[in-house]
Amino acid sequence: MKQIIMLLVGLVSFLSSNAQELHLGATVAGEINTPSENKAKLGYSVGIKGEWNLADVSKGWFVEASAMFKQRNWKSGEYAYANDESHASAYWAYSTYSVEIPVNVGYKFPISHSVSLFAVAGPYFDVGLTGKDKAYVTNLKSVETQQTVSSNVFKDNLLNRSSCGVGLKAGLQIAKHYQVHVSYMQGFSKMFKSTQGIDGKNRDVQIGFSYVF
Amino acid sequence: MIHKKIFPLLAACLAFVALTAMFSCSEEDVFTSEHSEQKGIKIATMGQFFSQTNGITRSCGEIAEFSDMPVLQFKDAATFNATVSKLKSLSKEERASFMKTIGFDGAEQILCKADEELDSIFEIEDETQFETSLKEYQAKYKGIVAFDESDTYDVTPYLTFTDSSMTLVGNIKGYVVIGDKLIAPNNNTPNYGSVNVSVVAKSSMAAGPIQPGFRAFVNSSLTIKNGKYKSTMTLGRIVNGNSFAIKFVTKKKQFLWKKSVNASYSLNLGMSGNKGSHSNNVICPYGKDCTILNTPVETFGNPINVTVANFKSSRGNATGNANFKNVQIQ
Repeated sequence: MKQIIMLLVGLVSFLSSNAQELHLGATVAGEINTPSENKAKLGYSVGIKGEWNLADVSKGWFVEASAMFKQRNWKSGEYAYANDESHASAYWAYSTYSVEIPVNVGYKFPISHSVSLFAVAGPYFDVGLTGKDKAYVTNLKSVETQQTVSSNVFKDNLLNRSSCGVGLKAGLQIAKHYQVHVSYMQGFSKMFKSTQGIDGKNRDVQIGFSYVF
Repeated sequence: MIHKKIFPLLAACLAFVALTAMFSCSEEDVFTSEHSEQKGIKIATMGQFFSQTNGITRSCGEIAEFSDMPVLQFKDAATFNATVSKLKSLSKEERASFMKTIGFDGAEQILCKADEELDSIFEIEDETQFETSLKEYQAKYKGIVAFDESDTYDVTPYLTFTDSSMTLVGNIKGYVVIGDKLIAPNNNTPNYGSVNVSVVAKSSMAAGPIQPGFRAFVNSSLTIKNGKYKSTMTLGRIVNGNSFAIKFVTKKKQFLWKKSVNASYSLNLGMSGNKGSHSNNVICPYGKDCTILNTPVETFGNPINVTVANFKSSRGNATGNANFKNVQIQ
């Protein structure tokens, strides 16, 4: 956590020192969380972003960094517990909150006076804050019950608190302030603790909107 | 006058007969009951033998609360072994009948009674009344039987030990007395893990059952094709637990694109190894992704040979068969 805070402070300091080229903004995105080996559910992210134009280096290039508060949701496949035609089964639903910091390098292509296309790519780092794991068990009488397995999946050593991956994003910037974008983020690290023996890496598909000042 | 002489004489005779009978009983072998087949067995209480700790794995302090609990006292080890052998050859009902003749409720009978009691509670439709009855039930059997701690909603009663012999002759805590020594069950571990595959190992911190997970065995997968649908079964095991499992997936393909679709599956699975073999039908209900089998992974030894026959998906009529040789259980 300290490393993340220091990274943030460093990033803000760096961007502040280049304030003429810095544009701050706000972002909100809806997303489909579809981790590998698991099933998709909807989530969201909201946060702030900064864009630093690299006009001195090459026109059109920019660096983008964000600090996003993120809720991810997903569920496991369904396990049938009985070796017959009964309906005893269970699945697990996860909901996590985390802070995600994507740092991207991108390029803008002007397609008219007020509209630009842009594409970015770069790594992201994610630090889990808290999260829940609930089991939904259907008994032999087809009655489903819900049970909280963990109220803090990171503290209870079910999921890895930190993760990283890469993201790709493409979108339109309209009237210099408004951005509509689609992005895909692929995790490199396993979500579950190795002791859980469950595979699964983050995969998020986002549709978002940003306002850049 | 005659009456005055006869009554004292009759009274004296009766007293003599009574005393004779009493002494004959007390001098007789204390292990003899009215049934010859239960000769050498009598009912005592555990507290009588707390000073004799041979074979007890727990300290007397820990079982002191059960000092009044009845326990079967066997005359000697031979009697104990003979009784266990006899009971093993009987059906559950016959064992219950045997115990009834002694006038003793053993572990098996009390567990059965507790289970039946729970069954009747589960028939209660009113939720409030159900929960009240369930709480009373749990309080009644607290410390007597074990409940699955990894699943607070599973109230199935289990024995607090796994010793199969003591299940037959022990009291509800698994104790017997041989000679004058109180003998504890060999394994004082609740037995829910050994009989219920739906129990999965829990995390050190998590409060409930955690996701079982799945690990596929190498070269143990079979795919059938039904037009645009491809259904695959993969034999493996659950990771957080000890059972074989089969993962199923069906994908529909259109041009280059594909998507997962729900289906139900059935197959006949045969597994054999150096410890034995078994074959049975496996069904995965519609919409489920993985069937956890009621078979621990060590059942057949390692490696195993697997035969899959008549693998079918609800997405078509195609069937598949396969033999997987020397499958390593990981």
